[in-house]
Amino acid sequence: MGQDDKKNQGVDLEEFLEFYLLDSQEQIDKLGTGLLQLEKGGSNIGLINDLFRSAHSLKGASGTMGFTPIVALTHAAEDLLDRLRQGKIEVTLTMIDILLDVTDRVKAMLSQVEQRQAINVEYEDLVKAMKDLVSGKLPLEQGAGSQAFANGTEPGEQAGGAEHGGETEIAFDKEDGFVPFDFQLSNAEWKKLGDAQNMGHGIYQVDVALAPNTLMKAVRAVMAVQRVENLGAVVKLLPTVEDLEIGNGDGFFLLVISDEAPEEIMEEILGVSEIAKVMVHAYPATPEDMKAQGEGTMGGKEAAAGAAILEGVLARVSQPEVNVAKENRLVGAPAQATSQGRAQVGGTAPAGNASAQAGNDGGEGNTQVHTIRVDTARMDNLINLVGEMVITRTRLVQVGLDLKSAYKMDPLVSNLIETNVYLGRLMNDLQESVMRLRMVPIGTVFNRFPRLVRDLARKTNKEIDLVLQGEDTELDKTVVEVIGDPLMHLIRNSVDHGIESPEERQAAGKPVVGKITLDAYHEGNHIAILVSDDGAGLPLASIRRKAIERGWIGEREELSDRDIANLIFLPGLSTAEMVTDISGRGVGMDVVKKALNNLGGMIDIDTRQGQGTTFIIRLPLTLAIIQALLVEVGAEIYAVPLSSVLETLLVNRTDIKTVGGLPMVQLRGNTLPLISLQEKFELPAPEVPSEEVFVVVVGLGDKALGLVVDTLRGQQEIVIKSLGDMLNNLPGIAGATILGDGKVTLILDIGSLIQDVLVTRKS
Amino acid sequence: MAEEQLVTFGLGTEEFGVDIMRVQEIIRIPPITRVPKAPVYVEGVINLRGNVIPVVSLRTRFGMDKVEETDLSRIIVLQVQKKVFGIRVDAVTEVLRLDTAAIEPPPPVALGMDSQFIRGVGKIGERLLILLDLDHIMGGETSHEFSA
Repeated sequence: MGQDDKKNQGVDLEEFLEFYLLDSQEQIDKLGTGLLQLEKGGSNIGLINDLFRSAHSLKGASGTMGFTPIVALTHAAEDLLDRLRQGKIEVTLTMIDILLDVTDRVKAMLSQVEQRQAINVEYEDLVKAMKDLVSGKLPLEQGAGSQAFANGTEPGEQAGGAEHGGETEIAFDKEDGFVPFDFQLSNAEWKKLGDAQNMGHGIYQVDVALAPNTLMKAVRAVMAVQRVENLGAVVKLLPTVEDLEIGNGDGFFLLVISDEAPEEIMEEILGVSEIAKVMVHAYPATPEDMKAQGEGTMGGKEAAAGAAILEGVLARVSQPEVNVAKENRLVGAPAQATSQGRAQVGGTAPAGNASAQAGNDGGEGNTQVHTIRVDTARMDNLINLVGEMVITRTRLVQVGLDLKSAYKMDPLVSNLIETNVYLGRLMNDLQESVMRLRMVPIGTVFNRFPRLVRDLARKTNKEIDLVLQGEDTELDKTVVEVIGDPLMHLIRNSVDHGIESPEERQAAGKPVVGKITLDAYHEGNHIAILVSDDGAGLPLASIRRKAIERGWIGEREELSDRDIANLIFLPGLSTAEMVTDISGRGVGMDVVKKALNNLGGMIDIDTRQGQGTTFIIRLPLTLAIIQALLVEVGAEIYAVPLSSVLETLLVNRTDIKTVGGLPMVQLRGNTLPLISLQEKFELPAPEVPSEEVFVVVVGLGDKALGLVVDTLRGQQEIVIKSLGDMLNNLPGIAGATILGDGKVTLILDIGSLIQDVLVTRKS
Repeated sequence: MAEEQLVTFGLGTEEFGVDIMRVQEIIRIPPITRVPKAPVYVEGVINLRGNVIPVVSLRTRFGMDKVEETDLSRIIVLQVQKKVFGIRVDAVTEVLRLDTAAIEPPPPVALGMDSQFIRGVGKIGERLLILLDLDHIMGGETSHEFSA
């Protein structure tokens, strides 16, 4: 039906899709985190309300986009949560399981939506499971939460219950505040109403308030009209669809002829998502009745103030007489509708209730972060510009100094220099702030692990507490994006191999509940991430045995515990006895290590028998900035990533021997192959070769290579920039950077240089 | 009558034109960093406000002799298919409009250079303007290498 809906609405949903996906993913993450909290902390009404709202806005948004399976799932979840918050059912483990399952399915569905595929994730089973949960305990009160609201079963926290009393009142003369809306009916339409009354049909005015920030108002109106037409005839809709389409008004009025009870009509319309509130009133059948009623109620203004319909709607009403009454009756309303901000107003929740919740949001200081989303390309551009400004300022400083030496006595010069100093301070601040834009807290990665640990723990019948620390530690977005998988692997490993079974723990005199700690903190230019467990520690003896079997180490070789522990990072150590469903899926610790190395990071292990294991990961704060050693070759400067530099040597030319046509040097008993960058990069040979040359020893894995250069210029932080599509994949060049003087310097690709030498050697 | 707006520049004795819509900016020659192993016509890379962009020497590309940099030497920064690169020229001469009717297809044996870089020849009175086909200047490597 999704496709049909889109056609019916005649609105291009594609443009809203990105927005929808972002928002939904946020909501589903909130749901997931909240559920885990619920499992731990029992039922806390604020939390359940949050969950309900998340489910609700997901449902609403998905409904708008026509993703029926997501609506079905979230609708059922919403019902369940509604029961929960009414205290009608208790939180159970099964319930959490089912709801978590819902978040997983919805995530899967969202990713299908993202890939523009049809949703084909199974969901009926979960919907049924949730319905069973709802009805199992309350067989008499089946059905949607919206019914509960309409019947006034909402708990006391719902604000303004009294005001709702009159909402569904049928006889208009009993309603103080209700003023019939002037639909500006034609004579024919009045006649229709009169006929309807004579035939005993009910005539109703239906006021519909949309949730704030509703995107496609016209669509909502059309959907409401369609639904109401199942129950009767819609005589008129105001504002018109055209007006709603251009975004006018936060609600609309319907004039309906129907035999159904007002409650039914209300119910039907509430089925449309993003409807904040519906009021159904009896409507006069003749112009005379209407006039009488309008005048009669001019005094009773505030009583119906619950209607959250904005002036935008009213501005379109031209008849002054009724207009006055209308405006008055709505005085109290607009504030309510607008004050809700982003808080999702429950489509089934009366507006009064919603605003009360919105109030809570502010009061409790919920974890809502005020953010805007910015394209990283724009941000990078900003960073570039700031970098360029810094360089330009240094030039300005130089000009100032030149002026000073030329016109020493001129006060204008010292003025310029002072201003330069001030500008320099500003630039530093600016640069720092801009760099911080790219930084995100590591908590965004950590937050997905509680769920993982919970699921794994239940699978392995272990009891495990995951403690998160240092979630606020910030690091570059580029790192955050890639660190997740290696961490997940380590955590799986800790759950599976680290933490013992409850029985074993008891026998060892440890607390039954195992503990895994994730911690992060800054360490100079690096970030340290710790994954530690209080489990049994690595089986060093068996690791050693395996390593000997594979011939990696000699039978008698003396190794420290740490060295043995580090053997697990070699490929192929994962053995049959260590493989389980969870962590033995053919990817071992070697993969983790490799992934971290690719990020310029390192990993270390600290393990103690019977006490636990800690994995220590050190990563550069950003992947965009690296430490580099600048070297000079002839007149050119190159940057060598410091992470691959092992050492630097000063070598006498006479010590360089040629073996098979390739230069080599002896280094502590081993031969080290050399590459002359001058030859490699086709630079003109110096006329008088120096007696001594510098050799930068670089290594990747177990392969080492010496780069022959003229001079070392020292170590510096550099920002990696791409050479672009056109100069990609040049041998030996990994990228470029811009130095302080504004000149471009190339960054060497150590991997490809080493590769090169190996190939030359073989051939 | 359709017309094109062109930025014209000189290279040796010839005059060339590029579509003004492709021209991002025109700059003086900044320090150029040579890129080893790059195609010969790539003179190197420059820093354009924090972005590293390649610079093509049109003289090398067209098999002309190298000349010393003068006060008139410029780099025309172009944007072609979202790629930004510069072409080094002897001098930028003017911006002009040209009737599309005045543009003729490139002669089969073009003015001593490979016709793949030429989109057409524009005539303005006695002047001949060689219109460059920018899609082939950078990349689109072909076997035609000219020695000077």
